[in-house]
Amino acid sequence: VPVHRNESVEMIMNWKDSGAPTKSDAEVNRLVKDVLLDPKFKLEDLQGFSVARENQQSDAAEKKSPFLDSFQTADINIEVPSGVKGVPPGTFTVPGLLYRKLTAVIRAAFSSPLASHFHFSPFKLFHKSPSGEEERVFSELYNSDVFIEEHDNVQRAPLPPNEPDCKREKVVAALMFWSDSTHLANFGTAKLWPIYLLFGNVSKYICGRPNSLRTSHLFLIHSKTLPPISAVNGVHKKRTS
Amino acid sequence: MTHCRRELMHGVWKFLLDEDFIHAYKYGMVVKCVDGIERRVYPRFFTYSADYPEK
Repeated sequence: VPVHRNESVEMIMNWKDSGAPTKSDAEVNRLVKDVLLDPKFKLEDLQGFSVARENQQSDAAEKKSPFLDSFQTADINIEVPSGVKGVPPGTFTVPGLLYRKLTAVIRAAFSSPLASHFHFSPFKLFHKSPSGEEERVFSELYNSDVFIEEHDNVQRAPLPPNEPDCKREKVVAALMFWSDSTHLANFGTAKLWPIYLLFGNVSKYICGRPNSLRTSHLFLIHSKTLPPISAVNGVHKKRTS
Repeated sequence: MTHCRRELMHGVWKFLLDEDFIHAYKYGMVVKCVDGIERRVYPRFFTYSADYPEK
């Protein structure tokens, strides 16, 4: 017996209440309002539709995305001590490390849609209890004293020689770095040492969202590119022989 | 080996803090923000937490 106002609603509700139980009311609403009811949505476009094939298309497009393009490769030289008195250290090159320019990442973050959530001016946050007591609250980098202090310092920071009369608003880009090794596989030793950059201008509740772009990969060191011990020793063997 | 990895990390940072960054640190960098307004942005370090690749 149909309980809903028409056949289409009936079918949607039956679909929602059957199959995998992970379909939330909000997501079903989203499917109907944002997709099915969109004037651009045409049923005939879906003939022969397959999620697997469309996923492949997305993967192929991602390979060409500007995100990966924005990484460049670099070789880093390190000095390896000889361990012998009087013998100067040898230079070892670690090739092919992936990086993004720090200034480019900052520029991208401030001009991205995420920047609409950015705080350019820090502030003090207070909580007033029912008894009338006021208490300072620290919950984010942009309501901390260090941010306020640095914001004040930046107002007095020098302007570049070519733009001594610049009147643009001066703001702080609050950089928070972290780095840790990441296992790439459950088995084997494939590892990365990424350096991540987070912006303290935006709430940690935004950064906590899994799809948030608040965290940027800045640098990737692949363990395969790290010198094996024999190669490092080789730097000096070549030197002495 | 630990020495090499530490050296590499320092090498990486030396590389990342390039001329453009130092200039931006000193004089700020003009960025057109998403609201269409240009601001002079001064990058500042607030935190750095790292587990160095030692082992």
